[in-house]
Amino acid sequence: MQNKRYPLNGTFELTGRCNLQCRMCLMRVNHARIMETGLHERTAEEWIHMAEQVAKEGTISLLLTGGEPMLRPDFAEIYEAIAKMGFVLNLYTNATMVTDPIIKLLQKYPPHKIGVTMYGASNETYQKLCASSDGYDRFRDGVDKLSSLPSLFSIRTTIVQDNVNDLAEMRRYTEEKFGPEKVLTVSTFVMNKIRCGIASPVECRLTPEEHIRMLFPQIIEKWEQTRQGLLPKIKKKLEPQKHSLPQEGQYLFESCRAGIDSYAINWSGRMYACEILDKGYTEPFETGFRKAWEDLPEQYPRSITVEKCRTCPHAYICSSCPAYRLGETGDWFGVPEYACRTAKFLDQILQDVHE
Amino acid sequence: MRTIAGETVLVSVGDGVADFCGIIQLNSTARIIWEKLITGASAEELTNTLLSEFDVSKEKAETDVIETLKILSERKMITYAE
Repeated sequence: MQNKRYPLNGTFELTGRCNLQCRMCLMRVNHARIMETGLHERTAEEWIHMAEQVAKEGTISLLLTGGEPMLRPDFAEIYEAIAKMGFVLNLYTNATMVTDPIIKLLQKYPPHKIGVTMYGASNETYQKLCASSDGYDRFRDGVDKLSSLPSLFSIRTTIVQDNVNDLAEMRRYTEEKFGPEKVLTVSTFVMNKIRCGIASPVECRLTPEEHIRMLFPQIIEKWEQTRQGLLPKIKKKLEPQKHSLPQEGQYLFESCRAGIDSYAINWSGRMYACEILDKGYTEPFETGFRKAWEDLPEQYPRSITVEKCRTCPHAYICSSCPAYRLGETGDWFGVPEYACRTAKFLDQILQDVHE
Repeated sequence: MRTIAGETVLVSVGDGVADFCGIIQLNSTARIIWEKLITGASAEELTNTLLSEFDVSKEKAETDVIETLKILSERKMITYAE
């Protein structure tokens, strides 16, 4: 690992709870699950003090997220204190809890960026996927308020079985609302639940093949036309770039820099190199941020070569990473079958359209 | 003003985000100018500060002050008093 590590980019997951009960959420917990774990959410005072520490240690970009951060009754207290500290502040929300007091606060202290998640294009879909009968109405109202702020605005979604038929309408809403330059970003994967999560993401996700068809409809159309002989093959031999598998003994997250210039502190106060990790944490609320940051790399195993992946012909197009492997298989070096099928299908498409 | 990985940067906060949604990295000259600016120093005082801190001509110090104030003003990090 590089000698110099700086905690430039931080994530504070202020709560693991959410007003929506999305079936595909990786990490949502509820009060009962929190009680079962014996853990607890951190107080406003603790988060504010933690923000003071990370500011002192050099964090420039700070993401406030959840769960749904606005669910906390003390969200405004936490937000206002942190917004004054001089971070490039990001706020992630599902936009369904934007009350008048909160929007007034955000008008006074706009975050630099707001990321909104959208789960469907009707109340029926929100009910089916998120158990919220008026979720879509509340989402649209929230987006109307949030998009009036001067913040950079992004809108994202995760597509699973329950909302795949809404995707076109969701894209239409985004374009109508924000113009053709604002793209609805579709999450590229849904993985197994982590950190005591209570939802069922694996049960409701699309198959790898359905997922690729959903993500790349134009490529799929050209692929099918090529197979039917309606389109010529690309007159170029496919020459896959060799996949840059991590070197033996390297720091596990050398390529994505998790734990080198970024970190995530979850609702219970555990710090991970990346927000989708299930294992390997330090405890900044107990030891202080500096020590927790210094000790973080030691929580992870050194990289080893996964033999099946080293010899896999589809590895060049595989997007799995150590955190994903761990989430899917429970093993840092496990082979996630979902990612294997995704890479195999993508490789087949590329092989078929090239000479 | 924040010190990040040994570098000095300005981050807009509050409704300043509406005017400038980003950060500015300050070199040593700009940092000294900013530190004096927030105490209410005039352009002449800023020039004198640079002259006392760096081995530069008065003309160069004046140019640096004017250029720095122009950049900060364009990004709405400062406004001129009426």
